[in-house]
Amino acid sequence: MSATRPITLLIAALGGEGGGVLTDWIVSAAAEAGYPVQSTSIPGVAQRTGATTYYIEIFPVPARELGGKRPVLALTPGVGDIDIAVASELLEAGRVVASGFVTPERTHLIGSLSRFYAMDEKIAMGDGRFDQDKLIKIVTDHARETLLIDMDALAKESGSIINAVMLGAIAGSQRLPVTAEQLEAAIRADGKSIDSNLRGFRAGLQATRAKMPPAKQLEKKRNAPTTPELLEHEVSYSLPALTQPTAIEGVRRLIAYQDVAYARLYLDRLRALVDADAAGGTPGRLLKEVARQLAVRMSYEDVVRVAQAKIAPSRMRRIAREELRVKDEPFSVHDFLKPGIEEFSQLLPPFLARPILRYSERKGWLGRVYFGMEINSTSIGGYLRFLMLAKLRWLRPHGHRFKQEQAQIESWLALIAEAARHSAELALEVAECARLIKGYGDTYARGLANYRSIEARVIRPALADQIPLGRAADAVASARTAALVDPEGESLAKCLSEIEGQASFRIAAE
Amino acid sequence: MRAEDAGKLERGERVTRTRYGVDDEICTGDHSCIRLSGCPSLTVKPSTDPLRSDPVATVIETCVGCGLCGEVAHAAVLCPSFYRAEIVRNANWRDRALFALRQKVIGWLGGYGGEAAA
Repeated sequence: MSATRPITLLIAALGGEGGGVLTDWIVSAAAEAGYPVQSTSIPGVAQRTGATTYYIEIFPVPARELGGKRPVLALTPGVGDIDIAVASELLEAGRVVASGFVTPERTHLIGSLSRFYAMDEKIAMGDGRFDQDKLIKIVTDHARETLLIDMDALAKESGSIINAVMLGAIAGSQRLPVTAEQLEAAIRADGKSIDSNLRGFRAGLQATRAKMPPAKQLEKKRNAPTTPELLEHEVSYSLPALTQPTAIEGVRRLIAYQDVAYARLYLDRLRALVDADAAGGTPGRLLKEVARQLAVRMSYEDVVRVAQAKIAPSRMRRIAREELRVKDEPFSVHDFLKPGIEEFSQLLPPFLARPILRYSERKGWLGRVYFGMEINSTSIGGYLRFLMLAKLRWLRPHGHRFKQEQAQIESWLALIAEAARHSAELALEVAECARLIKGYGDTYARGLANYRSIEARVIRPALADQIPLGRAADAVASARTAALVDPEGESLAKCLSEIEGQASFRIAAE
Repeated sequence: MRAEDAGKLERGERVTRTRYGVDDEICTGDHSCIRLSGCPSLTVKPSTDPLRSDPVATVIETCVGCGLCGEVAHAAVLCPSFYRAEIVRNANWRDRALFALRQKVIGWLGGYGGEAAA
């Protein structure tokens, strides 16, 4: 299980720029939204040998959903741990990079293009100023994403202090689990210079939104080649922060599994659920689970995937190093495959696969006839066999299994969206039911059958209000747990009839 | 068997050590193999895949390479995750030459060419 980590925010501001007030706004907005939050500040030194830094951690799950548990939040920023770095001045942005707080894998940097010259720059007898372009390059190269606007100019234009503009930029970047409205409410609640602060806030918000790649523009360019970088970038502005790490993982997996277009489909499917997810109150909570399950479902196990995994150089390296502890001894790895008629038909187009499957079923071959083989994957012939199978990847989207899987995925997603209209909890439980569908052969068939009976006997009745909403999520969760208790399905059958018994009792009572 | 192998190793004789394993990426965490085989060396470990929450099957150090788990999984058509790995200690020149040739050619074909084994 991957634990939820707090969202970390590091703010670098100069003295008098109101970094402390900015921190208070963010903390009170997060607290108002119910998130556990903590902040600290480290005073800088006069004459610009260091900015005053503020550090905030927000745990992106509301306290009420933690069941009395309290997250442990850190008081000091950790190198490599910062999600968002904000700097009110360009050199300070560079200084945050130099201190190691900006990492290309994680950190989104929001900085100002304005300069406030440091002592060393000013005392030079000629031009001692730092090269602005160099600074911009350093900052952009080191961050995962950089957003640079002239915050000082925006503050002056709007007649506000730079901290309000910074808050607007933070809101516009959509990296925090709090919305722009909630941050705006924090300014109002604070009660000081509300008008000028709101002007600055909106100026920062608008400037940031104008800089963010608008979703529509990208969609128009649908025909232009999509690259993996573009997709990952799209994740970072179109999905809630809580969902992003999982979605990026999913995008990478599906590009390796099939191609960029398939990962594009994954992202489109997730984006279609953004509203349903937001309706639940905690942006990203439902979507994170869907992003995880959807990536696994879309990369379903078939012969191509197995072949890809079997000949991956990283696999052989792992076996040699970790399992065999090879120094320079010769070794070999032997794999066992036992595909049946169904596995062979998966890659065939439906019009060929269906008659073959029907015929085999009549003959009683399904589940009985297999082609067992042992392949020495470290031999040339064995390697070539797997390579050939892995190369069949292009056939996959035309295959019978692909069509089936996509239809099932679509119906599961529609079910989640419908459940989200009833309750966020129910939607989450429906999403998690995808966990039942996994494995190969009989295991897969059993999981799918279990999923279908839960859908027909618990989820559908719940959506039709035959099971009270308060109990529906629990009912789905217990049916799912029961399905995983024994392979014979006795627990599930018992659980399902209990749920139905309760439902009919209720109807009779009314 | 282990004592016998240790003796052979010391005398410089050729010894093949066999181990069974499970591929993390291919195992889906259903554990049918464990329910069927019941081997003490076959257990579960946390999935290395960030997208899968169920623990995956694994063969631990104590495996003696009897092959029962793989056979059972094969007979029951469970899954293709199992593999058998063999390492030859005190290899003769034929073992070495064949291995080197295979690694070379597979390396050319874009596969694992033995680069990190040493």
